[in-house]
Amino acid sequence: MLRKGKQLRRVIVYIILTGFAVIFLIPLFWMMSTSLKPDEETMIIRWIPSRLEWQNYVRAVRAFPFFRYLRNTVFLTVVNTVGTVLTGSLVAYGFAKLRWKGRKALFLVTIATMFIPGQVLIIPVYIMYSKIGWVNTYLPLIVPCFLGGGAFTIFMLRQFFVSLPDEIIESARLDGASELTIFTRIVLPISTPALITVSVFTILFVWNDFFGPLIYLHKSDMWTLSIGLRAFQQRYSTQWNLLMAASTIISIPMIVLYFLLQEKIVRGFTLRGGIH
Amino acid sequence: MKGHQRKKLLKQNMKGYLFVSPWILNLAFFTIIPIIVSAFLSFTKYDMVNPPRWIGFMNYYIMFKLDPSFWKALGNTLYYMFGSVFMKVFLALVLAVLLNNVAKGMGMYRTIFFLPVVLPAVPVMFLWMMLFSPNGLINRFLALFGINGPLWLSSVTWSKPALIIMSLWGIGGIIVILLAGLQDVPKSIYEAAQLDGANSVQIFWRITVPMVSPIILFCIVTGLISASQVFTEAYIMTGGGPLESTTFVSLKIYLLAFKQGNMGYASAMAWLMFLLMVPLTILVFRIFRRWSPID
Amino acid sequence: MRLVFRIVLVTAILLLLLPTISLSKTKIIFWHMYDSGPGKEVMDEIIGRFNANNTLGIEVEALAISFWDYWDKLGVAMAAGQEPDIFMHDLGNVPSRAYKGVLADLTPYIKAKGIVPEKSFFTVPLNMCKWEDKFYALPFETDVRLLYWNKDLFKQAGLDPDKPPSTWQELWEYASKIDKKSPQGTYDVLGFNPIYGQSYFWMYVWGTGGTFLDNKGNISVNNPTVVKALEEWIGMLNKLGIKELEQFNATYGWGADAFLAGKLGMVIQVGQYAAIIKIFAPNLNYGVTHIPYPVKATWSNGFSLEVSSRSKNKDAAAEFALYLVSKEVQLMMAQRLNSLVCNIEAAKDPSLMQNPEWRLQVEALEYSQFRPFVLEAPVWYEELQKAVDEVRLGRKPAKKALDDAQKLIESEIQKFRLTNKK
Repeated sequence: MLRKGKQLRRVIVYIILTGFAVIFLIPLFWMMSTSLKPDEETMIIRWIPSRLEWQNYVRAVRAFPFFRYLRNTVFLTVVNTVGTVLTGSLVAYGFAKLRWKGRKALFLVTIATMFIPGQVLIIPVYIMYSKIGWVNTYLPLIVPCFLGGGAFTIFMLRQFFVSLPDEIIESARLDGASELTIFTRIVLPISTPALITVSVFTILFVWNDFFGPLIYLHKSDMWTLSIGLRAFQQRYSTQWNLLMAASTIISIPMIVLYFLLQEKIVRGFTLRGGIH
Repeated sequence: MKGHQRKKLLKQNMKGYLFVSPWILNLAFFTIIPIIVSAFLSFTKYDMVNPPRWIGFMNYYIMFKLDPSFWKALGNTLYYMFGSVFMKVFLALVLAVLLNNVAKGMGMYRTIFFLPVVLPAVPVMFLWMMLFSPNGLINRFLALFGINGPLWLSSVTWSKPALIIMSLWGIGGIIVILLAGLQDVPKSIYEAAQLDGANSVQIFWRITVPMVSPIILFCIVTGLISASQVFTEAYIMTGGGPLESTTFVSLKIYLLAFKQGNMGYASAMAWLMFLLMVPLTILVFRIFRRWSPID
Repeated sequence: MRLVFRIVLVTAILLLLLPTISLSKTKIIFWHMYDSGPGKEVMDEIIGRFNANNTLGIEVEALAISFWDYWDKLGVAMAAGQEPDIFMHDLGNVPSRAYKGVLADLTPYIKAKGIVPEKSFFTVPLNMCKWEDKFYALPFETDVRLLYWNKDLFKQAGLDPDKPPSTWQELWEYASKIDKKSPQGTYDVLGFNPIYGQSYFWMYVWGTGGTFLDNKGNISVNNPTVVKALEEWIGMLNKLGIKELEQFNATYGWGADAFLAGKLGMVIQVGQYAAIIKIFAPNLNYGVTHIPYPVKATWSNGFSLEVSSRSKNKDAAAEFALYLVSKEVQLMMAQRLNSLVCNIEAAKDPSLMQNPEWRLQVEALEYSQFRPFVLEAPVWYEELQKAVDEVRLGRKPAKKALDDAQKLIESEIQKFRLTNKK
C-alpha cells in the first residue's frame, strides 16, 4: 500500500517535471527552427521551415570575424571566472566565517550598492577608467573580477558559507591551522557545489556580457561574440534566421558546459556527505 | 589578560580585513566613488559634455513638482518587483524540491530548466513577442478552455503581467542555486520527520524552507534588486508602452541619461530610487532573521 | 666585416624610421554605422581610397558599430571627452550638440573648398545641419516614406493593379475592397493600416495641411489643424475597428511583416524597403508611389557627419567629412547601397534616375520634412505620440489629450529653462 503510494507520487512528480520541461524547451526549439529557415520564410510566422537551410550556419559564421571574437570571448571568460572564484570565495569566507569589526556594516553596504540603478554609474566609472588610460584595453573588464568579482557572487558565496557547520572550522583552529590553510584545505574542498554554481553564473555572465565590451573596446579586433551577434540586426530589418543560427552556435558551448558542470555539483555533494 | 585579549581581537580583525581586502578596493573604486559622484551629479545640470553645473535641489524639485511620470514609473517598478520575485522564488522552490526527489534524469531536467538562462536575450524576447501575440500560442492555449485571451503586450492592463509571466521562464538560475542549497540538507532530518508522521506539505514548510532559508533570502534579495532594475525587456519588447504601462524607473533613467543627455536629472532619479529601496532590503533581512534558524 | 656591420646598421636605422615616416600622416578616428554586409564592404572601400591618397597625409582609422548600440557607445565616450574626431550622428537633432558646444563649426571648411551648400545638398536635410546660421554638420544620408502596394491583392479585389490611389479618399475606397475578415471578425487581409509600418500621425497632420508650429514658431501640438487631423485619424481607426487593428499589429509585430507576408494591401515604408522586399519576399508583386494626401507630405530622418570641437585634428577631420559628402563617394553609396544620399549631383546622376523607384525618392525629398526641432524639448513628439495613443484607446477626447500633451511639452521646456540658466 505504502509502496504503491510512493510509486504513484513518483509518477506524478515526473509528469509535472516533464510538463514544465516541455514549456522550457520551446525557446530552444524555436531558435533552432528559425535558424534553419530560408530567407523568404523568416518574416512569416511558421514553426517548422518548409526546407532546412543548413547553409545558414555557414553564412552566420562568415558574417562577422567569428573565430577572432570566439578567441577573445574564451579568453575573457576563462580569466574572469578564475579571478572571480578565487578572490570572491576569499572575500565571502571573510564575511561568513570571520569575526571582525565593521563586518555587518560592510556587508550591508555591499548589498545596498546593488540597488543603485546601474545606468547612472556607467559614466563616472567610464571617466575614471579613461583617466587612468584603461579604455580600449581589457583591463576594465578583467580587474574587477580579480577584486572579488561583484556583489552578486560575494553575496551568493557568503550565503553558502554561512550554512557550513562552524565546528569543522573551530576544531581546525584549535589544531593551530592558519586561517588560509583552513580556507584552502577544508572550506574550499567541501564547497564544490557552491563554487561550481558561482562559476556557472560567472561564465554565463562574461560569455554573454555585451555592454562592457561595447563601451570599453574601441577596436573591433578586441570585440566579443555578443557584439558579433549585432551584425544581423540592421536598422529596418533583421536576418532572424542567421541571428538564430549564430545564437545557437554561441549557446551550445554554454549548454554543454552547464550539463557537464552540474554533474560535478552532484558529485561535490556526495563528497561532502562523507565528511559530515 | 586584557592586553592579550585586545591583541587577539586585533589579530582577528586584521585577518578579516585581509580576507575582504580585494573587495574593499573594488567597492571603493568601482562602486563607492562612482556612487558619490552620481550623488553630486544629482544636484547639477550635467549634459554629459560640459562640466556639471551646480543647481541645488532643482532636479529633485522638478521630480516632485513637474514630473508625474516618475511616480508612474515607480509604481510600475514596484508592481513588477513584487509580482515577479515572489512567484519566481516560489515556483523555483517547488521545482527544485521536486527535482531533488528525482533519482533518474535529474541532470537532464536541470539542464532543460536552465536553458532559457543560457540563451541570448534578444532571440528569447523575440520568441515571447510571438507567444504573446493575439493569436499566439498562449491565447490559443487559453482558447482551449474557452478563455478569450487579452492583447498582452499591447494592452495597458496586461502588459506588466505579461512581462512577469515571461520572467518566470528565467527561474533556471534560482533553481540551480536552491538545488545546491537543498543538497546540503542532511537526509536524516527528512527521515526523522517522516517517521514522526509529517506529510509532504508539512515537511516542505517546516523543514525544507527553513533549512535553505539563507539561500531563499539570497534569491529574494537579488531577485528584488534585479527586478528593480528591469530594463531590457521593456526596452526591447514594449519600449515602455502602451501608455507608459511598462515604463520602469530604470528605463526612464536610461532614456533620460542616454537619449536626452540629462544625466543630472537621471542621477537624482536613481538616488531617490536607491533611498526607497534600502529600507525595503533591510526589512527583508529582518523578516528572515526572525524566521531562519541559521542566519 | 665592417661593411656587413654598416649594412646592418643602416638597415636597422631605416627599419626604425620606416614606421615613423608612415606615422607622420595625421591620424583621425571615425565612427560610423556600416557594420555588416555590403554596407561594411563599401564603407571600407571608401575609407581605403581616402587613405591611399598620399597627397592629403591623413590616415583614417574607422570603427563600425551597429545602429542599435552606436548611440550608447558614442554617448559614453563623449561624456569622457573621448569621442572620435569625426562621427555619424542623428540628423534630426544636430542643434542639441551644437548648443552644448561639442561640435566644430564646419562653415569655414565648406567655404574654403568653394562649396555652396545650398547648391550641393538637398535643402531639407541641409537645413537640419544649421544652428545659429552656421553649419555644425554635413548631411550624409537621409530617407523618405513612400506608399507600397501589393499588385496581386489589388487584382484579387478587382482593382487595377497598376493604378495606386492618388488621394486619401481613394486609398480608403481601395482598402475596403481588399479587406478580408475571418469568421471571428479579425482581419485576415487588410487593405491599409494607418498605425502599421512607417505610418505616423505627424505625417498625416502635414498631409492635411496642418503644422506643429504656431505663428511665432513655437511648438504647438494642440492647434486646430492638429486637433482636426487627430479627430479624422481616430475616425479612420474606429471605422476599421481599433481592437481588430491592434490584433493585426500584434500578430505582425516584431520580426513578422504583414506586407511581406502578402496580408496587407498597402503600407507606408521607407525608400530602402524595396531592398528588404528583394531579400525576404523576392516574389512579391508590388509597386511604389507617393503617399496620397491632399497636400504632398512625407517624413525624413537621416544621418549627419559631425566633427568634434575637441578634436586635435579638426582640419583633417573636416577634410574627410567633405570627402564623404563629395559626389564621388555619395554616388558610390547610392549605387551600391541604395542609400538616399544628400549630395544633389550624386542623387540625380542619370544612372540612378533611370530607376523609377529612385526617382520617386528624389522627388519626395523635395517636399519632405523633418519633425521640427525644439532645443528645450527635443523629444516633444513622444508626448504627441502618447496623446494619440490615449485617444486611440478611448481614454481622452482628441482636444483634451492634445491640450495635456502641450502642457507636458511646455513643462519640459520649463524644466530645461530652470536647469539651463546661464
